[in-house]
Amino acid sequence: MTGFFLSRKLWMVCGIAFLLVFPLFLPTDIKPFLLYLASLIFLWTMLCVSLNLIFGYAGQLSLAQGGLFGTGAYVAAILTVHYGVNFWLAFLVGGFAAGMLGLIIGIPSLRLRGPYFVIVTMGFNIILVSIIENLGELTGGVTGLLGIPPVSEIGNITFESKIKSYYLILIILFIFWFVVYRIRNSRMGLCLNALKNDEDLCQSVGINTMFMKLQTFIISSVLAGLGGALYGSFLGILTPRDASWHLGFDALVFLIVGGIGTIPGTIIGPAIMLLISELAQSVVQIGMLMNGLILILLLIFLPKGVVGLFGYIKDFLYRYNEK
Amino acid sequence: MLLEVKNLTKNFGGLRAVYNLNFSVEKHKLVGIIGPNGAGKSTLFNLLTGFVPPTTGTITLAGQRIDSYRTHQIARAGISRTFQTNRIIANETLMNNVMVGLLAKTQHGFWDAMIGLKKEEEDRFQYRCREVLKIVELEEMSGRVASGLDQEQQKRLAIAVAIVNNPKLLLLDEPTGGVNVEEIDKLTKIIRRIWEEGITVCLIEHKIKMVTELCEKVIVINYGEKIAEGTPEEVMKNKDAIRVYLGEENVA
Repeated sequence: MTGFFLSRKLWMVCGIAFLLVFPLFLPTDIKPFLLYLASLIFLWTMLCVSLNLIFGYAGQLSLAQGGLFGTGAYVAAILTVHYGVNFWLAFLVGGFAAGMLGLIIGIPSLRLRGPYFVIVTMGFNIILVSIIENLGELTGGVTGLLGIPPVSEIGNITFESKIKSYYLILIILFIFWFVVYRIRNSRMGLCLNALKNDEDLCQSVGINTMFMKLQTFIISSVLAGLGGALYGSFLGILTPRDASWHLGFDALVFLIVGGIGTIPGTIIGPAIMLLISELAQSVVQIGMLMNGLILILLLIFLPKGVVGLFGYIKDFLYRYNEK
Repeated sequence: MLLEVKNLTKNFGGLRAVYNLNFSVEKHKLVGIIGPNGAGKSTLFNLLTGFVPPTTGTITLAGQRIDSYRTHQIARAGISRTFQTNRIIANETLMNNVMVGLLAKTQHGFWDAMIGLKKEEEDRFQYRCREVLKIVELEEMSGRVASGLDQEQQKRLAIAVAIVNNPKLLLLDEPTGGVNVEEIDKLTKIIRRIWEEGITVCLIEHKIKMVTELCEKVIVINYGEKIAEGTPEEVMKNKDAIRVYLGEENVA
């Protein structure tokens, strides 16, 4: 019986079902706010998914995810605001642009091992932000880009209401998860895990590790870019802060909280941290302090994140059953 | 001639790790490389597998110059190796560990992850992995996670990963390092079995007994230079070899 309650499939189905029916049972007075918050959590989850792919699975810590997210957001926003392009086309172009940037950053930096990739990606992100700040006519400069239209309709369905945009973002998030799940449970996932553990071993059996890392970084960049494009149109306004490396760093913190290298961790982390910071902000401005405190406590007591907690409970229950 | 090394030299700054080394390995031979610690044996393996580029000299594998190749290209050309320290993927099963050795041959890109492999292809690879696990006598543990293995089992797993792709030449870097005396015989038997499968084997070893039992040819290296070469009996009689290996006073 314990086995059934602890099976991964059951939890997965319950989680997905919860996300699907969650908006139907909300009290009307706080419904718009909660839907907004949940959508924001999903958008952050997309960023976490992209970071999880390159860091959690391939073991390459990228601090450019914020910049790639912002690239997708800005490219899509500029296309829709200045050129009146359909959102869905702009969305794809945003993902593509981020992917291309990933390729450009990846080729020189992924050859190096150790901390260089971290430094190069962060440096790139800082350059990117100053480019955005200085391309005032296109990006709105430091004041930001205003009036980004919401997601355009598919057929007859429009996405102006909160609940429809909630489901739209959720569906796109499911696609993200599906892609990453397929990668993890395939030869590519095995290859990435081997790469993360021992690059020398991979090379000695004939795996082109540079190509594998580059490929993964590009996919991760595309995911970040697509998430960003959606983020921009969801918020309706973008500032250079939405492309800063802090975003990527926050995503890293969220991942640590949720559990690095796991799919549920990509949503549990942002959900916990964003809920706490919302709650903390409504009392006093101690959100940042709380974040720091939680991170420290987690690293001490739960180094594998909240998802790791399930592992501990599972072990405990099995041992308890044996007794 | 399977492997030919000519005038191979490697300098690390002022340190001469390998100097003007010439030797060759015939097809289907078992060759032992011995020498004291720091003699340049591991550097030689690193040169052969492209982990470090040679300063000068050429390496030819079955008529193909490989000294400018990158590591994974050399592996694809047919040289496979194990490492002195055990390199295994601790959080994967034995089966998946061996599968890593096959990855270069299978499709492992993004599109293949999305589409998935064909059933018969999958079965073929599984079968091959099981076959190799049988050779190293780990078959019954194939579903277990590799972190539970002891030192000697890890050595055998690393060998399985190295041979799964049918290399032309297998380089074993101290296959018995850190292994109990009782278990050495088992490893010796396994290495012989691999050799019988048709794979040329070249091993670095400190245990002279194992080398004399297994190898048809022994190369002695000291300070990066070859000082003796021949059958185990010849080398054991060679004064230079005895001097570096057993000490000055043993030279009769």
